[in-house]
Amino acid sequence: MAVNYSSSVTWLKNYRGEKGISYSFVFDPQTDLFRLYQVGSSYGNYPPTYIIIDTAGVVRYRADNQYNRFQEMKTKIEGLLRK
Amino acid sequence: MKTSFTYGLLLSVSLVLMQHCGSPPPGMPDVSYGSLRIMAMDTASIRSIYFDLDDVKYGKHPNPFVLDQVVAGTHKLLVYDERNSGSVTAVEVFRDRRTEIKVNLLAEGPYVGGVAPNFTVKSIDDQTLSLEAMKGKVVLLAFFEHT
Repeated sequence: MAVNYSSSVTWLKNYRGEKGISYSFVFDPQTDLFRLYQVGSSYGNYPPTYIIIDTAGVVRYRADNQYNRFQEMKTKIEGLLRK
Repeated sequence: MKTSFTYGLLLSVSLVLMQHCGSPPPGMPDVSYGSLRIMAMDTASIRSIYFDLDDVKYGKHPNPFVLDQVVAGTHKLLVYDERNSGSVTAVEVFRDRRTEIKVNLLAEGPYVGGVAPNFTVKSIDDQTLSLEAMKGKVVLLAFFEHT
């Protein structure tokens, strides 16, 4: 799921539609999720931040301030799905 | 001296009888045993555990581990590993039975190795999303900005 605090529900819906994205989007204007997952300059990092959680609820991957990690994340997710 | 020796001998014989005959002699406590299977959750990353039973250190063992010959009754169990401080659990051991104990050693935290903090949020489509409800699935959280 994608989490954003800085735009609006309308913008997110349009963006998702334009890109043809099927997964869930969450608008988090109070930054509750950002703070819960310690994402942002207060924590010494900047979005985008990608976090992969396994089937048992344990964090298995985290990349802060990173773009173009698609292949790395795909490999990680496929590995977790095989377990 | 002689009395003490005789008493000691009787006690030893009684303990042997207790172990081999099932029921103890009159006046002796009924000691019975069960076993404990101790498992730290997430066996993929926790290969070995340490544990203390009633404040006695039992050292390092593979995860999971079965401890036999545990006196039936309530015990204090502390399970931990090199990285995690662990948690204390009261365990009940029953005669001739195996008690399964599962302990979650991993601390909650949003970094690799931590238990992901739970949340319940609404999506932009007004759908309720809860991490707890997504257990059993691999979840990707993508935090992004747009300015």
